[in-house]
Amino acid sequence: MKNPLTRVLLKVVARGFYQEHTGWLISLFLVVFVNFFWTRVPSQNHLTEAQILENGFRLVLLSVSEPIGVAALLGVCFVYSLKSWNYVAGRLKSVDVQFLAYSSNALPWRQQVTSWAVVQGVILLPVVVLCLYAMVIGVIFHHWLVPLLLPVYLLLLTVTGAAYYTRLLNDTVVKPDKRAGLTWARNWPKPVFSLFLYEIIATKRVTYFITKGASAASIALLLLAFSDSRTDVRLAGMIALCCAVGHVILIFQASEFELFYLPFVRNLPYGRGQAYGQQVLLYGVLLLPELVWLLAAGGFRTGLTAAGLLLSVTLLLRTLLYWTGQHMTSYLRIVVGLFLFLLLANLFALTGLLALGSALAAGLLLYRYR
Amino acid sequence: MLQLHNFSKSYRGRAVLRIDSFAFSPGTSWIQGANGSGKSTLLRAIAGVTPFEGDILLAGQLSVKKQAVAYRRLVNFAEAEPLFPEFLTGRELIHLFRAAKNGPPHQEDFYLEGLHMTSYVHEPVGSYSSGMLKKLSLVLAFLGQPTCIVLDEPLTTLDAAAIPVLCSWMARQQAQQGTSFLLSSHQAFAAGSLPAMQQLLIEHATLHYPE
Repeated sequence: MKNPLTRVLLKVVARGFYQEHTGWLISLFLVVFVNFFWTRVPSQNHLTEAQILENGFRLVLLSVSEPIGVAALLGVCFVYSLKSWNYVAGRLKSVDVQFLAYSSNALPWRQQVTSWAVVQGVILLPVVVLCLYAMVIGVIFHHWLVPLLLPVYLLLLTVTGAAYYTRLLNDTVVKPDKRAGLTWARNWPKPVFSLFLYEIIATKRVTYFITKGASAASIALLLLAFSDSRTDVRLAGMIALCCAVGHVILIFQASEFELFYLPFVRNLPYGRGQAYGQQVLLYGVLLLPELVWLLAAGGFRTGLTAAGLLLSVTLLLRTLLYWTGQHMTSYLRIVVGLFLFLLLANLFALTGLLALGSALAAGLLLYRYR
Repeated sequence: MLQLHNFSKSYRGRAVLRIDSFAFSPGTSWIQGANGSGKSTLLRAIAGVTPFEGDILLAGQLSVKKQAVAYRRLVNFAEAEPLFPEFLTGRELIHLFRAAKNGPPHQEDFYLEGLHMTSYVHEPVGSYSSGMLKKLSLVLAFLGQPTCIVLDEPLTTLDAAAIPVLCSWMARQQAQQGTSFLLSSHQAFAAGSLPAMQQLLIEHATLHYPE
């Protein structure tokens, strides 16, 4: 790490990536990685040790032997890389890293790509660990081809990312910035509540689709796990809580956007009620797919309660940031604590009460902030 | 015009400003001070943009905390380095501010023509230069019927032709509507370009008249 460019990039890009995506990575680890490393199968007393091992490594072996498993593993790595490319490309547009555009690109191209490759490698560490594990287990179980190809694939993803970032920093005078586009929406109304929605369309599409994918996955997994209690309000509540927490990155980014681009809104004569209404509208639209699903799938009463819980908890997660400030680590600690508390209370069928309480708490936090 | 009561502002536990009591006289007040002395912090607090301890009253009755809506309708603000969502056009921002600040229709036309902005105001602000953004933020600060306009470093990044235009707007606004101005600037205004200006100094984390 003696290369000064690498050191700077690790600090301003890689560290930022992990800070911003801690929540996402924890969810990924809990949902995917844990099962990948070792799949728990109940009642295996009648099996031999070799069969138990094979069951435990079922997922990881699938990922190095069967086409669908291989595709899933490569797909996870690719989506992760895509997310990182999107993050870094956005980060390079930030005001505080503009110096890179008139410093780093004076270095030889090869040196720049090397530095960026190190950074991309560090960013890819979670999937590198995943692949290394798959390679080791694959080789132990005599699967050779995929374990040998995985390093090549990872290297390809790393170098592609590195070349992309280098090009972004070197082509600053070649290509005009198209971020300000949205020409198709130029004549659309843009009330204050909708501004972050336009920002999502303009710059945060990948985060949005990953969030919605995580939302859909959590709904599918919970329905699968509790298939015999689909009309239970507690299951609908659990789904609502998972969807709300799944949106935590977008909520954090909404708050960042508000602080960075919309400080002027605080000088506009909007009352507290109006400010709360704007947040309700923003998150109402953002969560529309989940809200509609809850209302349609859960029956009117259950669906309404769960939809209310989803919206109010999301509002609470948003207004918590008024209190904590933009500190991802401390914010996530509170989010995880709150999630566990709400999950537990929801198991006592307090779903409606939790929705009301969260909406009131969100209102109170907003009231104190304004 | 504006009164500060037990005003204090801290960052991470470090007090950067403490003003027990201060009343701004009507007219134009020019706040000076070294870099980092807290000029922008004070102006942002007065604009209701940043939280602080204590209270700020407009005309002795409107509190920035208790009558926030009425206060913000009458106190306008332009930031030192304005930033807006890149996909919004200048025109969209103007419509937003004019509606929020209760300005009459086409109020912006005079200002847009004055700073020769009509050719690009319909473009997204992501395509603006810093000077164009600055001009836009100044136009926004004049919309509505403000009692007080707070301008943080209004001359920074403005071209030479725009400075006398801004001064003429301030003089006109003050003469026609009695609007007061509160501004911070490291650059001096040309002699006679503005009506009588009261100079204030921020040093040792407080605001006072220069000796």
